[in-house]
Order: sequence, then C-alpha cells, then structure tokens
Amino acid sequence: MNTSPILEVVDLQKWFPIRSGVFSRPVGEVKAVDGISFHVGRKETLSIVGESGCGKTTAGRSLLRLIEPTGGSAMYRAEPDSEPVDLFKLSASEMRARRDDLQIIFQDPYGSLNPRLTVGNAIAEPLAVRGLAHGSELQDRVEGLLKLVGLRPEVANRYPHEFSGGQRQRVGIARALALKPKLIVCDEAVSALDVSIQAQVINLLKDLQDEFGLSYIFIAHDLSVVRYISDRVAVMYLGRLVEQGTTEQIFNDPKHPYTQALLSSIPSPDPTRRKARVHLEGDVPSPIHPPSGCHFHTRCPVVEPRCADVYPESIEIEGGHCASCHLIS
Amino acid sequence: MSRERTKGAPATASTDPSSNEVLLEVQGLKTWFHTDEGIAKAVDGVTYSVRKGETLGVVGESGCGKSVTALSVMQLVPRPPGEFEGGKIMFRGQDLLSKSDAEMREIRGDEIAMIFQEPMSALNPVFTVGDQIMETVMLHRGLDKEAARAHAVEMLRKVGIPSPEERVDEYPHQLSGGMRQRVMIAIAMSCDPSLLIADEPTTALDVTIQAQILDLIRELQEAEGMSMLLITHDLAVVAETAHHVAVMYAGKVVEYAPVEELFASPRHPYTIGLFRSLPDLATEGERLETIPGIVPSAFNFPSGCRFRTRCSIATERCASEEPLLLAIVEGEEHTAACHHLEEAKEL
Repeated sequence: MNTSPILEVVDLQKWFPIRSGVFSRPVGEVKAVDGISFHVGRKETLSIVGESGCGKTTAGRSLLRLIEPTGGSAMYRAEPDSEPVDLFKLSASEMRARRDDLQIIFQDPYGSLNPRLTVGNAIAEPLAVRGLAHGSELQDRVEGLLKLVGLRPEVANRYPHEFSGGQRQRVGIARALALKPKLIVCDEAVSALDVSIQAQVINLLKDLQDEFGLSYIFIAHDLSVVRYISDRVAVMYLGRLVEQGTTEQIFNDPKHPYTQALLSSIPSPDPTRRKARVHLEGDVPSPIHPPSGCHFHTRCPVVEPRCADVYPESIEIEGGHCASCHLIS
Repeated sequence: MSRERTKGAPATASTDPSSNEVLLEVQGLKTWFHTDEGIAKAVDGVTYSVRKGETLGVVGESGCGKSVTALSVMQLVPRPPGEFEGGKIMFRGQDLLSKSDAEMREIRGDEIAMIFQEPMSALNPVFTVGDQIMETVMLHRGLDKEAARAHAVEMLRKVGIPSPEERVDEYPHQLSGGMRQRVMIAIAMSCDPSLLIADEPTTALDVTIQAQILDLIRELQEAEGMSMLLITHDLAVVAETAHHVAVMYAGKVVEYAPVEELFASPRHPYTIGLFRSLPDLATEGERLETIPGIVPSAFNFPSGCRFRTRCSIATERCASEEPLLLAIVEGEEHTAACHHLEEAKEL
C-alpha cells in the first residue's frame, strides 16, 4: 500500500548463548529469532502473533535494540523521502537520538513504571533527558499528554500504585508519546487488562494512530484483538515467520497449517457455534533443540517426509501473502 | 438479606442434558475481608446454583468476587482477614458453612475438587506428580500404595498424558504448562468428585493448549456426569463450555441465564456493555464500544445499583434502591438485577 515502508526488516536474528560449567563457557545457543523478514508501512499496524516462546517479544525488543540483535538489518525511513538508515548499524549515541522516533509500550504497566516517581515525573523524564522542555513548558507538555490519553491533569502528582491497571497503561502510553514517536512497538499492551478496559485502551491506540499518523508493531497472542486492530499480520512459530499477509488474507484464507490450527483454537464467543477444531497434538518444542527441517513438522496434521529434512522457503501466494510450507506451490 | 433467588420453573427448552436437580446452591453469600484500610466486601450477597451434570460459568472482571465465591465454597478463604458475614452454601442439602474443619477436609478433594489457574504454583515442586495423585486417593479412598500408584497411572492416561507409566515419576518442573494443567486435572478427578471448581483453568495457557484443555474438561465432564463451576473472565471460554452463566459485578450476580439465551439476548446493561467491548464481535473499522470508567473499589461500593456509576441509563432510583435479581419473565430461568430492563433493551 505504500512504496516506502517506515521500517523494513531483513533476516533479523537474535541468538542467546547457553552457558554452562564453572567458566560459563557457551555450549550452544537458543535461536530465539532465527531470520525473520517483514516490513511496516506508514500509519500501518503490523501484528506479530504466536504462542509463548515463539520469539515475538524478542523480535520487538531487538528491533529497538533494547537487546542487541545477532544479525540482519532494519532499514528505517523517518519520512517517505528520507534516506533509509540501518538501525542495527547505528552507534549507541546515534541510536539514542533515534529513539525519539521509536518507542515501546509494555504489557505490565506497573512493572515498567518507577514506583517512586510520580506519573507526572515519569512522563516528563524523556522530555527532560532530551532537553526538549523545561519548567512550566515541561509541565504544560505533561498535562497535555495526560489529557491526550484520557487522564485528568491533576493526577500528575500521584504515584503509579494509586492507579488501576487501565489507567497505568494510559500513563505508559503517554510516556511513549512524549517524544512524538513515529513507530511504537506495543508488546502485549492490552493483554493484562479486563475486557471493558481493554476496549478503552484499544480505542485510544487507534485514535492516536489516526491523529499522529503512528505506525504500530503490535505483539500479541490474543487473536481476536489482533484481528480487530491490525492491517497486516505475521505469524511466528519457534523463531521463524511461517506466514504473513493482510489481516483478511490471514484470517479468511490462512495457508500455513499452523496458522489454520491457531485460528481454529480460538474459542468463539457464540454458544450456538461450538466448532470442530483442527487439533494440534502436544506442545511447542523447546527452541534449544528445534525440530529439523520445518519446525512445525512434529505437530503438523499434514506432515510429509520431506518436511523433516528441508526448511520450506517463504513463497508468495498473492499480493504480499507469504507462507513457508512445502505443501504450498 | 431477603434475597431469595427466583427459582426457575421446570426445564424450559434448554440444551442441558441433565436433570434439574441442584447440587450446589450458594444463597446470599457474603465474604468480607477486614483489613487495615477497612472492610472489602469482595462477595456481598451472591446467589447461584449448579445443577447435577451441568457447567455453570461465572464471568466477570478482576475483583468482581468470582474467585472469592469459589474459594468460599471450598472454604479456602484465609480467616482472618476473611469472614463469612452471611448466607449459606448448600451442597447436597447440607450447609458447608456449618461444617467443622475436619468435616470440610473430608469433602475437599473428594466430593468437591478444584483446579487453579497457575498449575506450577498449585503443584508441589518436591514431589513427583504420581505422589501428588496418590496422596489424594490414599487419604480419601484408603487405597494402599500399590493400588494408589496404579490409580495414578490410570488417571494420567485418562487426562491424555503420553506414556503415563514414565510420567508418573516425573516432577512438575519436567512438564510443560499444558501437561501440568493435565496433572492438576488428574489430581482433581482422582476421587471422582461430584463437583469440580475450575478457576481460570486455561488463562495461563497458549491458545492451542487452551483448546486441548477445554476439550478435555468437557469430555471428562460428559463421561463422568460431574458438575462444574467454571470461573473465567473470558466470555468465549464460557460460550464453549457452560450450560448456564452467572455474570458478576462488584460482589454480586447481576444476570443469570442459559448460555444460548445470555449470548443471544443479554439484558443487564453491564452484560450488554461487556459483549459490546469484545473485539471478536465488532465489525472491522468500527470503534469498539466501551464501558466508561472503572470497576468500583470493594471498600466503597456505590449505593443502590453498583453499576449505576458506569451505566448510561441510570436514574435516581438506581442510587437509592438496590435492584434484586428477578426473573425477567415470570417462571423463566433468565434473571437480571436492574430497575430499567425495558430501557436497557434500547441500548
């Protein structure tokens, strides 16, 4: 939909060493993210979905270099016509400057707010650190941000424990917005919230996207939220992307057997439609020893002998809808 | 305290396979917590019943009292600070609140069993899973060690754990989250309980594993004809599993109905709002409808109807007079606690 995506990620890898013994020598590695490629369009929401341990959170954090990626590139274009920069090649200080554009919202707003800082100070911190506002101007900015996320400006003097979960998440959003970012990684940003509050926060995220032209990378496991909020969806399994496409392509016409099983597992909020499911046997294998060939072959309902030998390349089916499965061709 | 539940007339067109016989009846239960900050009325007049062979789903958001009600049935509420301030918990015609600790120990794990959200913290890490199943049957059924072990293997097989003869000697940390929840279910089912209380049994699990566990619970329930009290925040889980549903808000049941009816025509403004905020049911591109504001604190519930502070059709009457949980149509099962059911239809 856009000729110059805001972010183009190629072959992102993050391997964690496994250390053992007295001298903590590396004895192997966990390939938490093992070569994933995707792009995020301007003002677009890309969701990365998958089960626990599939590497979706690691992928999001490596992109912002909150943990250092092992390999790959992430070409970022602040404006459609600006020169792309590879985020992974920037020095620490260049990256710090770039973080004005790139922000993150975490799942647990309580864990990510300093309990000893008033929320006003927490929101003011990024502005003060970057030297963007002082004194009364800083206060005005903080009040403006609080209003923007639907909180009363008076709450600036309160501490995080005085807020409910949904309000704390609003504070987390205000903080992420302080530096006027262009791209926000939302890491399970609404997962910890009750349904009625979750809906409020989802609406807020959508409104902010419309107002400021934000792009989101939305990392989540709740597929009904993903369906509602995303323009495009990427499905991860054991460190790799198995399928990506527009929300419609993924939800209405999933091609990969894992995506099909994942979608069929969602319980439906309609008691008259208790459905027959595509059953997945067993659990997700350990990423320390992922299965050979296609990682999904140990649980796949349509597995063939070649699946255990060769990892299937990603094949484009149509209009950006890609899947990695031998059975598609 | 004059809260009598309107008894449903003999079964209407329900899909419920069971009889109408009531196994558990919670009547006007009040469980309050006396803390330094004041009294938290976590459960404040809850009434519902579970019939033989059926699943009652109890839904509500964090802090609505759904879990405390379940813990009260098991009498696992820490006392102090918890205190039963009123009501009855009738199980097979006897009031559990009048039982001694020793009598409750006989019932817990035998007649009534419970599974929890987080199997890792509910299982004992220093005993094998076999030991933990054997403990229950040796205590309640008086089996010797050998028979108990055979029973443990049998139970593990029943809950779908592969190679149970080997798994029986493993420790909880050696199992995955889904397997641990299967072990919890095996322990709970080991004495063939007539009532299983499942408190958010799949909340901590991934969606593919959740699907496995929900199917397992449903199969076991149908095979054993056991009753289940399913507590969850997830309306979709209720839709797939329950026969009847009780919706709780701020320490009370606000609506109760057969599952198809509740999902087809919710009547209480809170239930209606809850359904509307589900992204599943929203049309693409449309804004999600929300319930404004937040759940009130259990230390200080609003007067009258507790939902009135967030309700768009609240009137002065809602502030002064508490609505009772009454049948919407005389003689039918669907009940709701709202003064303005007619207006709510327009929502």
